[in-house]
Amino acid sequence: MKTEYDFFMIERTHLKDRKTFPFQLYIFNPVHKKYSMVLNGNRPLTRELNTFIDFLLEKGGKLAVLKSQRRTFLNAQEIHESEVPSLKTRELHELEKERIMNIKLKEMFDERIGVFSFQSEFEIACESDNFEKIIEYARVEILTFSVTQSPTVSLAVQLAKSHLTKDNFLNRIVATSYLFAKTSNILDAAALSDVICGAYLSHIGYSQLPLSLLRIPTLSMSEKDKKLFEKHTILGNHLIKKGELEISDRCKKIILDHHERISGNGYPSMKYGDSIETLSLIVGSISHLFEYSSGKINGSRLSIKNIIIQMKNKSFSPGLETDFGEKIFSSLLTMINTDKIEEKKAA
Amino acid sequence: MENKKQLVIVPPMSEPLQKLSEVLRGVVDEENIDISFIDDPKELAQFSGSAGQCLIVFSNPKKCATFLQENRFVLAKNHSKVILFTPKEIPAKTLIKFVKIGLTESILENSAPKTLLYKVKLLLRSIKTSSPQQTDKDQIVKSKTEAAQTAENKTEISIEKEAAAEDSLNYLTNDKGKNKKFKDENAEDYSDGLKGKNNYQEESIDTNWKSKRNTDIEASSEEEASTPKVEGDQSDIDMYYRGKRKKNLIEVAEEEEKRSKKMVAEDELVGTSKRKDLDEDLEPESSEKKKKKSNYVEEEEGTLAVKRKLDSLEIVDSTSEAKKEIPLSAEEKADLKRKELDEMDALIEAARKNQSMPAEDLGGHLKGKISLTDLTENEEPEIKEKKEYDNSELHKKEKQFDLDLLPGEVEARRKYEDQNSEDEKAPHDGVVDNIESNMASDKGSTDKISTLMIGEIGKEKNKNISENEIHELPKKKNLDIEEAFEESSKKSEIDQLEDASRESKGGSLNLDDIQEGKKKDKLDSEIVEPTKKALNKATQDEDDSPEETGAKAQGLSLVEDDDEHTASAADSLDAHMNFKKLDQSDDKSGDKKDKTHNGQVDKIDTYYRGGEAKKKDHSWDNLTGKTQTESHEITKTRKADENGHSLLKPDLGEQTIDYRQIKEEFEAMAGNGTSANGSTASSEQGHGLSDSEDEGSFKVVELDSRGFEFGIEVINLIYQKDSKPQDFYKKVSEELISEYKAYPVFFTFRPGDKKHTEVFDSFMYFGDSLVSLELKEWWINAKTEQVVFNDYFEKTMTTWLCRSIPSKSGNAPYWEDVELPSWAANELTDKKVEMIFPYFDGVDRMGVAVIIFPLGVVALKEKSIMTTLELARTVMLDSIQRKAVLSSDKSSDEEAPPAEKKNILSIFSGLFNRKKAG
Repeated sequence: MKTEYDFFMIERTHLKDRKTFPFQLYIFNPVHKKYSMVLNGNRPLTRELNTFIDFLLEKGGKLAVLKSQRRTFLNAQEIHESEVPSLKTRELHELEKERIMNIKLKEMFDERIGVFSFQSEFEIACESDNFEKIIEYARVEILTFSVTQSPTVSLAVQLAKSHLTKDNFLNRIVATSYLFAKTSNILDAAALSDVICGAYLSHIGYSQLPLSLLRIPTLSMSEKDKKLFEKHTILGNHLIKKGELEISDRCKKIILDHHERISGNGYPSMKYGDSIETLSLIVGSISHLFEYSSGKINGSRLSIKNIIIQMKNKSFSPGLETDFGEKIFSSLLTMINTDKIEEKKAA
Repeated sequence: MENKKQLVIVPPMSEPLQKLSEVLRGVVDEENIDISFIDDPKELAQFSGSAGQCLIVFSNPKKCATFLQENRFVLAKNHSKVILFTPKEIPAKTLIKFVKIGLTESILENSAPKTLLYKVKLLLRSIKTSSPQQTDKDQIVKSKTEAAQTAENKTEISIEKEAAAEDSLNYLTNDKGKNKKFKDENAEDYSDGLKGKNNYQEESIDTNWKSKRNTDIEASSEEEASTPKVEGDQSDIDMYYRGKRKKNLIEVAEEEEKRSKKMVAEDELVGTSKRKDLDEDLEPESSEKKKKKSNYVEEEEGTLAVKRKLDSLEIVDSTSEAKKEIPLSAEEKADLKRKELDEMDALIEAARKNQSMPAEDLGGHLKGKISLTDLTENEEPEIKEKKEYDNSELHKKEKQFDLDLLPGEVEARRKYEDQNSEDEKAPHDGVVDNIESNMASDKGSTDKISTLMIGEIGKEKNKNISENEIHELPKKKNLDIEEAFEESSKKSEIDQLEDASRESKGGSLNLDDIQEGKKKDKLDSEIVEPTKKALNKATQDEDDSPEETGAKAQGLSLVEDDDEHTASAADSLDAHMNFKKLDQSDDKSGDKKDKTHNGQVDKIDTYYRGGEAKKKDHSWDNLTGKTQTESHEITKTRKADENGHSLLKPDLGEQTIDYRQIKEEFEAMAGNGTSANGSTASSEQGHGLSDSEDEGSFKVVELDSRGFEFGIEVINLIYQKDSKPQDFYKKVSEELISEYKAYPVFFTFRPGDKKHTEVFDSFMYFGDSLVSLELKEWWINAKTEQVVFNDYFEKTMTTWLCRSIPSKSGNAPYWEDVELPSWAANELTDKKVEMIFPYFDGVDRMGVAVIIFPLGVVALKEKSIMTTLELARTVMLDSIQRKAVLSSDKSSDEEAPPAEKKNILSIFSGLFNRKKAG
């Protein structure tokens, strides 16, 4: 696992017009904060590649070399360490140290638990009503996120660190949303952080609604209460704006739009189709799944398995929503191997 | 072996294989594998037979080919996997042959170490840990020996003697399967004939190579239909091996009798012919068969020359002359004969030009007879076909699709032969084209036909060789040697033993003999290089043909056997008195190197022995350690790569650089590291790089959660159904005290009473640990000052006040504002500050929170404090809601009826008023 701490920046002049280098040459993308190899060791720096590197540098990229190849670089290029500013030692921030430690812990964790299959683990968790493993896995993984990337990522790390420790309703939604997003091939740390923060804060608007109202199942609410309840998205968004919380716009969209549905039946803006952020749909779908399971929607508990079976069989119950988009809906159906369940039932 | 996956590494090991073996040793327990290093081919064969399914890794292609050839049935039966590590990519055609004889995968040695390890592990996954099935193995071996034994019976040789010798010989030649079953063989009755057993063997071949599990031999009528023809091929295969061994045996047992000069010459011929066969990817069997077949033709059908070339009496004469010259040195005579042959060739050409049709007919007739062992059936169709072919090339191709392959090929060969005879100096490209056209016709053949053609592939190759070699000069010598060889073969008992195999084949015998003779010439001196190239081309083209796929088993054996025979032939050239090698081990591979060959084996050697291939430096370090989490990290990496999240990316060693992706990523940037499209991800990254302070690092984003982190606790509390309003007040108070040293007191407003009621007092609620006694006393005193409280309750906006700082405007004795000013960061951090936070729902006052900051307030935390207080709104709303409900209930009880009355009156008032007015 290579992090930004594994590299040091070099200048173009440090290459000294040589054609081959005994070290690997990386380019740093300041927008994506990503290092990509541009030249392998002992490979010729062709004219085309040279031009390409110039283009990258012009765009704001920076050449970088692995710190593990520092000595090779200095010897080969006959440069003194003092000539490379990025090689100056600096003390890591506490959060950086913590992150490095978390990365090591993650590796140890991986070794301990082996391969983590979300589908199977989710199924087990639903059966046993114990999401500790899923929550722990999500936490360990989230804690390895960069603390230098963005406020949302940092907030995600912070929230995971302080809250993603217990098996409670909100943490289930957060951990499941996170892993669901990952299985949906959303792997960018920023996007995942948006999912995490969005899942945590999407219901912050509840704090601006009467407590007694929140305890009433949605289907049992009067129209007036329902409308009031539906304001929690706007209130949450408003609270965040008022509190001047520095999170990404996408995360704010998740908080505002997590009840929007593809068909336009959602709220508060009755958005439909592609105008709804996918991450909003992910968080919305997972939270709906858990809320429906907990009885928050119709007042009666129902296992997630059964909900998925109902979804799959199109035997929709009142309050059960499915307008999350085709991809997300199909992904939801695959969260648990319902065929297996049906087989068991049949047997 | 027990419950472990068997991995066999066969020395000599290349450097990557050595390293890989070291790495694998490190993961023996983890992968549940048992690694064995077996160098001895015999031992390896035994192991593969007894260990059941296993994975065998070679880095020596020659050894690999030898092993595969000899043990392909066992390997296929056990579903064992064979990996060959090669320094350079194997030519596709060679690889196909390798695959045909059972090679599972060929891996480039210069691949990344992880790749090598991964591939090995991947194949290991498919290896079962179960023990081998003895019964199946026995059956296979038994069938082989039975077939061999029945073939022996036909050859009228003293069985007992040879059987004993063969047994030992088999052992020496590592044919363990056969050895094992030899004892059983004696106990069984083999008088059933070759057919049934060959069928069984054929079936096993089908099973092995075509993945068809036909347990019932007699079930398939198609098989039965194809059996008779294939049977001959199968028996030929068996006969070949058996006969070869017998020869060796006889040489050992009866040296004086068997090692006549002719026998030596025969051996040499075989060797030399096989050297050339290497170039042409021909089966080693075929060369030997050809040799034997030629004898057979001489004996059974009369003079070879007469049968083969009726149109050219001169050739017959030359062959008879050659017979006489045989006792002399063939090499010496060859030069003299060449001149004569040149002259004769010219005459032959002229004769053939005039009599091309009869020559073709005869040749085709003969070949057809030989190939199909049915002299009468194929005569007429062949002639017709040939005539058609002669008419036009295109028409020929079309017809070939409709024809049986055998006659078609024979005819094509004949035609080609004629063309060669007409124009010896024709370019070699023509040869290739012709072959290709032949092969094109083969593509149209059915599976059945291709099955039948299994045994003919070698012949066809021989044809091509012979056709090519017709261009060459030393025909006289060829004939001499051929005849000498034939004479010697007549005398030898070994040839008699092989009559059975010759009967089934022999279509290409005549040409093969010529070929063999020519090959010896090649060894002697100058070999025409273009011819070799043409041969290579021809054979390579043939390799691509669909027939080849049907001819797996036979086509495969070429590499090793050719090599072996090449070596033996080379030795025999030097010493003329050597007999066939009993030991077929790779020890002689070194000798072979010194010899000049053009065969594919040499190519393979060149490729594999690393002369050309440059090995890349790969890091084999820590590979073992990484393998522990490899599977997990691979998945992570794959996913991480897709979205560019490099954090979870493991070190892959050398990796492919996707320049396109890099370019796309950078093209989206406007320049100087800013995002062009202003994506959400980048929009919040203004703090990104701190170029000034530290280029090589990032600035850590220290985030102030603004109280929202606490908000999550409130949400959790909301989700807890048993949570009460007091719990919320308590939670918020705890948070304010612990985080901001702020002590809140919550009041709710009763609209009916129009006064505030205290619902939670943190000073009094918490113990001394959280709120000091001193502070509690102060609060009690301050609380009694009604003026202050009145001031609190009147506030409609958030208000900060500090009583120790006088108001700048002078209107009030203390500073008061709705928000903390910039100077508050310094001035109010050490002074007692109060805050009034009223809760309103629209215009409805719900209550108020009075927060005391005894030690001052940090201005930067203003928003966080506000947010924290806002989170208590849910209970404030709840209280006011309930009160509203209660009040509405009360009001409904008291005031509703009058309202109704009023409404009713108002409805009817209009009417009444009108009436009233009226």
